[in-house]
Amino acid sequence: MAGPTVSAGSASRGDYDTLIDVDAEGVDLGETDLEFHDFHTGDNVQGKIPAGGQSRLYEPPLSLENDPNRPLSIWTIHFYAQFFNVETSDVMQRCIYALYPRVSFVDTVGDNPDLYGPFWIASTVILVLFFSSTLAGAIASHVAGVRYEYNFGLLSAAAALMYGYTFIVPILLWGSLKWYRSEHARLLECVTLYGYANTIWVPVALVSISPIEIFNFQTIANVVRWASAAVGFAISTTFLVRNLYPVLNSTEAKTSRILLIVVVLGHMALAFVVKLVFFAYSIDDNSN
Amino acid sequence: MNTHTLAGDQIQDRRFSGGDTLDEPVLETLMRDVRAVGRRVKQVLYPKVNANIDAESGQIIRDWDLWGPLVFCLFLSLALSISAPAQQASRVFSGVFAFVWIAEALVTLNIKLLGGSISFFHSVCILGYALFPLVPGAIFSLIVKSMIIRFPIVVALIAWSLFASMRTLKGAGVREGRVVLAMYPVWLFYGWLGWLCVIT
Repeated sequence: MAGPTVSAGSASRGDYDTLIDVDAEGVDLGETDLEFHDFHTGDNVQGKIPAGGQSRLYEPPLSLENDPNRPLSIWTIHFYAQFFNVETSDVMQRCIYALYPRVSFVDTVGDNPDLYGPFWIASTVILVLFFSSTLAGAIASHVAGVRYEYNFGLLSAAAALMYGYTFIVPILLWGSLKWYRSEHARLLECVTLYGYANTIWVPVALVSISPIEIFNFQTIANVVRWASAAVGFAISTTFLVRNLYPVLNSTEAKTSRILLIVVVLGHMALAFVVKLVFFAYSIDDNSN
Repeated sequence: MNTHTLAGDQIQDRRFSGGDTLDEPVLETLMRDVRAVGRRVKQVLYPKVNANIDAESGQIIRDWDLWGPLVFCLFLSLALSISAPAQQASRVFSGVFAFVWIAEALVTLNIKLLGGSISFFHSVCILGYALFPLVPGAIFSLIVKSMIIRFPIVVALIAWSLFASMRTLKGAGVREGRVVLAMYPVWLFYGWLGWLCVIT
């Protein structure tokens, strides 16, 4: 700050005289314990957090890149920023590999599994399921000539289903792998795998709108929905099994077979729930 | 900023003095906040292109408040709950209200986690003010019942919201290769609210 700022009223008259003496001649002050205080409040008059962010919690995680070996506390945002250390092109590539499981996903991800994909893909699927489910319902009602009333509960149902499946199933899988003493089990990798496997449900949900229903082809629309759910199940199961197989194989032969069957059955259950809860529209359902 | 003369020296008092607010009418105190809200709405929704004015308008929105976001969020929830199907009004009101605040917090947290330099409430404030175009959208849906007419209007309003928030957030200090990752949740957020205005 520039120059001494003396705030009026903070000192008695006598102290000012001493202060001015100091400025002029630099005489010893003796026992007068005067200090310059910084009363400068500057631009942040209202005391709010400035845009740069000075609190420790909100520093950009540059220091993370400078020193990756520094132990991070789980209460800092840096700790979680390391799971979001991806670029747009990485996420796009991972989504494409999840839709078209041609190469090993685990190898592509390497030692940089992320949580951005699992969280936002699951959120996208939730909102897209709500969107296509309500749109399909609106079309069905239009055909039947009744006024459509959407069900807000579909949103919480979708959220419970997708967030639950994406985050609880991998934790259970990782736990059982640990239990059977697998050496390759890594929790973050499991979550990333399950998270990206959800990508397929976005196109599946969009196809399941099947607007041909508008021409009164309910049976065909329903066949399209079953088929798209089956395709979604096939692609994501291929993806999951392909990438989980090496990990599961590190347990005993019998255990790995049972775990594999459980994984596939769990995924099949998800596909059925998606089809039956969100795309079970018929005229009867709506008029009831 | 007040300038005093003390013992022959000029001393500047740089603390905020802001005038005497003790005995002003209550209405004036309230109107000052209302005017501040109006100024921020204008800054977010009509971003100017000129670089000099840009810095100045950045300052206005940097002094964030949450009054505007709260009011818009309440109006949006209210309009959507009135037009919601019977039996679901209170559920829709609380659902939309919670959704807006949770989504704003998550979008901002996502920006921070991707390494954005924007402050938390600054970003929440921008997202909340950019919600404004959806309020007339929801009220429009109260009046017009046809989804086919609602759809293009709401799409235009969402585009306005998105354009305004992108323009004001300016990538939020996220690295070049991550801007899409940081902005994608914003599209999801406005897109879903817009769809609710159409379907309601």
